[in-house]
Amino acid sequence: MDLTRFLPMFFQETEEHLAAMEGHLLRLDPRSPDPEALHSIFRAAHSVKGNSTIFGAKPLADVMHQMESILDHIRNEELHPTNNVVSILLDACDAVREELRRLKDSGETDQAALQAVYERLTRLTQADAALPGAPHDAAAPSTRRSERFRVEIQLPAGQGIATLPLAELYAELGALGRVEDVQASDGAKGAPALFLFLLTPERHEVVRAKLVSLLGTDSVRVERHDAPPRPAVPAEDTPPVRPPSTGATAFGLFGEEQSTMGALIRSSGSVMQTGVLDARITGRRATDQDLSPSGFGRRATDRMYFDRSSIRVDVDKVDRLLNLAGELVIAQSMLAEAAQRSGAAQDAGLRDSVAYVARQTRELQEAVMAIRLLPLDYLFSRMPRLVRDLAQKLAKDVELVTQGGETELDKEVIEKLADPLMHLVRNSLDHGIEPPAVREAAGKSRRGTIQMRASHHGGGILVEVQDDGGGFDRDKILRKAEERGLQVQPGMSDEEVWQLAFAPGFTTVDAVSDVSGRGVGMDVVKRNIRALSGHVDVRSSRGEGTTIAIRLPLTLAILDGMNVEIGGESFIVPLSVISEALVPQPGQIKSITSGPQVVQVRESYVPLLDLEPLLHIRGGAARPEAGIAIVVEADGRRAALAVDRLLGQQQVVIKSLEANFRPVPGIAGATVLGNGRVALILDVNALIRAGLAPLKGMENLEAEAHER
Amino acid sequence: MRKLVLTVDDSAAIREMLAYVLKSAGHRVIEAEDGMDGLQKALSNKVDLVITDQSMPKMDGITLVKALRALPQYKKIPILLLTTESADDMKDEGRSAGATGWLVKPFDPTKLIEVVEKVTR
Amino acid sequence: MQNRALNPSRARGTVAAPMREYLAFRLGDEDYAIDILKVQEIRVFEAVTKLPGAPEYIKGVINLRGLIAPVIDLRIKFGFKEAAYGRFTVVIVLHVHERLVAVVADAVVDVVALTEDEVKPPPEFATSVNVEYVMGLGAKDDHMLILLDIEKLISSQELGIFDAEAAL
Repeated sequence: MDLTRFLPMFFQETEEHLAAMEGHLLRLDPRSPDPEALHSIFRAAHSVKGNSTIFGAKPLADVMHQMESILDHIRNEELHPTNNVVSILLDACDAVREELRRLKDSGETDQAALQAVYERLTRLTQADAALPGAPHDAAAPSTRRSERFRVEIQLPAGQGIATLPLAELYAELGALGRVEDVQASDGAKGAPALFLFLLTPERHEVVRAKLVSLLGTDSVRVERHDAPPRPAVPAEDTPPVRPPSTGATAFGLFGEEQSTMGALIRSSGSVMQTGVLDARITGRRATDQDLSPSGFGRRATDRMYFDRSSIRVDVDKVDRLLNLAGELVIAQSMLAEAAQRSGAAQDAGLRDSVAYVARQTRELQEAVMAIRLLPLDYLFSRMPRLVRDLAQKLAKDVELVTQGGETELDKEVIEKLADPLMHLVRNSLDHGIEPPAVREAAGKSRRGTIQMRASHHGGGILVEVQDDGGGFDRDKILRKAEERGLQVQPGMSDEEVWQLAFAPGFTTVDAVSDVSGRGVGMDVVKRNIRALSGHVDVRSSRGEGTTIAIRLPLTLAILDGMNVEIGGESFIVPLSVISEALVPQPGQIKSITSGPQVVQVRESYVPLLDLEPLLHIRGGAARPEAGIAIVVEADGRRAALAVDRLLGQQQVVIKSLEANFRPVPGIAGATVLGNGRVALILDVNALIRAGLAPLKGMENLEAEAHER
Repeated sequence: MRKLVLTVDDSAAIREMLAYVLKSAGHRVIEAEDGMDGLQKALSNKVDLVITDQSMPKMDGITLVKALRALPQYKKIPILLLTTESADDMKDEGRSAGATGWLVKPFDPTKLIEVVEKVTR
Repeated sequence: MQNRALNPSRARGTVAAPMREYLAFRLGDEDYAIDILKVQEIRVFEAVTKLPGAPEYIKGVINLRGLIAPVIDLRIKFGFKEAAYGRFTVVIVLHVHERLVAVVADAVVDVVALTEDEVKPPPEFATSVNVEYVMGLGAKDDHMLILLDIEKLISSQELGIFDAEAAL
């Protein structure tokens, strides 16, 4: 059988297993590692070993076999997962990843590298590292430790197991944790019962409560159980790589007769004797307290990922679906337009149908886009490793805290966010957080903290990277900016100075650090975020730290917009920034000596953006009273846009301008209208910034306006 | 004769391979990605044969065999364990748990079909 | 004229001398030719959406079956006397450096195959189009064709279509 067709799956799966292993390894507590975590790592290694064998990658299988052995030792408490041990295991994962990459790219293998890893692992299995003593820099567990319970379900005499709600029972157990063993007693000794052995981080009361609600108080008993009900399966010898077995040993049957009732009773009887009361007490008692976190990966919010029912879908298929949904939106608006033009809008039936199609299209689109949503944890989970490695390299003591990892973003946005986020974290580690001695001298804790937070924020997502390091150095930045020939003015606000750091080619690193690389950093971050239609802001305080805030739209694909006419041209203003629209009455528009015109909106005055210099069109600003003022708000600042007409609200598919062209200032993207023509989407944020930049302060504006 | 086979393995690659071979021989296949999933699928489908891996999340192969054998409708249905050659311990456990037989990984497609025919006769 | 998609990969018979195919089109009074493999399609000039702040020779953008592509008028860029938009005005959609760009032309002349002998080195005197973008002169049936290095031209800094961020 030609196995190559299954190779892509092999690569993908192995990647996933490696990532899972890494995640668990980083969170292991050296003093008492969580058995479930160890189990998961073991299983992952086992799967990779198995798959590698099938696909003929013996060196990989061998490395995995050694990992299994080491994990076995840890499980049996013969080895403590100290920092050193974890590092070696993590390195092994890296080596395997590298090998995978090599295999994928060129089909070649680096025997020497794998051999070196193999030997390192082997030495570890032989080393006497079981000594207690203080394991420093422990990786902290973030989840509750798992405990074992024995669940006994009584079956009233005469009723078989089939009377139990089995599907629900097993579903409940599966959600609680892992079922390690099942034993059925047929009633030869007392009432028939079903015994289930569960490994779960949930507390006894929770387990009992869930089962009782399903089965009734009398039928179920839940007790703590110390030992693993069956001895842990030891690491099997790596089978020699050979062509698929064709000999007589390729398969076998246990006895020619199918299991008869008698055989079943006999076999279950023998299990009953050895199973339940098997006295392999490991002596490790699970505890209730959460061990205090002290290490490289701590989650401010705990989360257990339960296996949900899911299927694997090719990304291309989802993208195709998304494209079709997007085109459907355009088609639907063309339909609406045609219906309107033809005057058939009088026809209530047609009108209703068109509206119905619009609603369904919208729902379909939202549903398809939801498929592409991934939790940010996808990115956050890579960070602990990064922070750990880098902090070690830089001899700094740093802790990473993440929050809001369950916030979901479109897959594409997440992927494009990866590099900028990692760069920001690297920056914090490299330039932000000071060395422990320096921190101590400054009266700070030796350990620095980097916080990574995500939350929903006004129609979009806010991702912040905050460190409690030394903050941006204003003077240093100004000096460097002048050196680079950038525009520097006396009396620039702090925010403006920080923005200088985002200019291309800017760097304040005196010696080029091989960690951050050359000063290609911040401007690339900004550009990447802008390509996602997002914004980057910096808040920094000398001696206290820096916060970088990234604002992103929820999706790249669709926008609810207001179609407006300005100077004869059609533009789209995103609805999310519009607070209101009004027809200015005479006297509501005032001129101020120091700045632009303002329009009175109820109690306050809002500056009217002069779109002419910004967009190079003759807009309605010349005669704002003749048109409509749209009050927009972005980044906490308000402004009004003077437009000629409102053409209608519509849902538009965002098309990229930058795919085939350079970025146009003031324009966020483009879309295709129902008439097939391209309409540009205004970048209101940029317009506000540029339009209001020369202004001194809102208060002055308002004061002046009130005087008149 | 066309059979409904339940394959249980946490490796999608292995499931793909099994499905490929079984379907080319005309059988129908239901897949599960771990022991618990396998049990649920066995409860809601009338399966003629179960082929399961051992090491899986949620519930391993041996436990699955035991859970299945505790059900009246699966007391006699053939259940095969996927093993690596030298795993004698597992074979013993498998036998006591009530499995019908075992199949070695990496498996030979023709052997797989042969076993399937044999146990579902 | 209908929107015509050209298929550059046409079957070739055995040819003695190596030949390349070019799309010949008219700009003003002159005939130009570009490598046909870069041409994706030819469309009627219509419905261009203006881009704010863009130089005059960038007419705007158009919708190409869901993709947004810029439209460039080389006549304006290189200072031709006239740049009219009439019945025969077309846009030639090019696929250059993974991007789609449309170029205005007064008319499409033909698809021309030229052997190496039929291509002469570029002239020393200045042509309307900057000589650095001229690959050579082609002679066919008394017709002179100015062979453009369209890829170089389109991606040039001078045209400024790609990259380079600007601020408001």
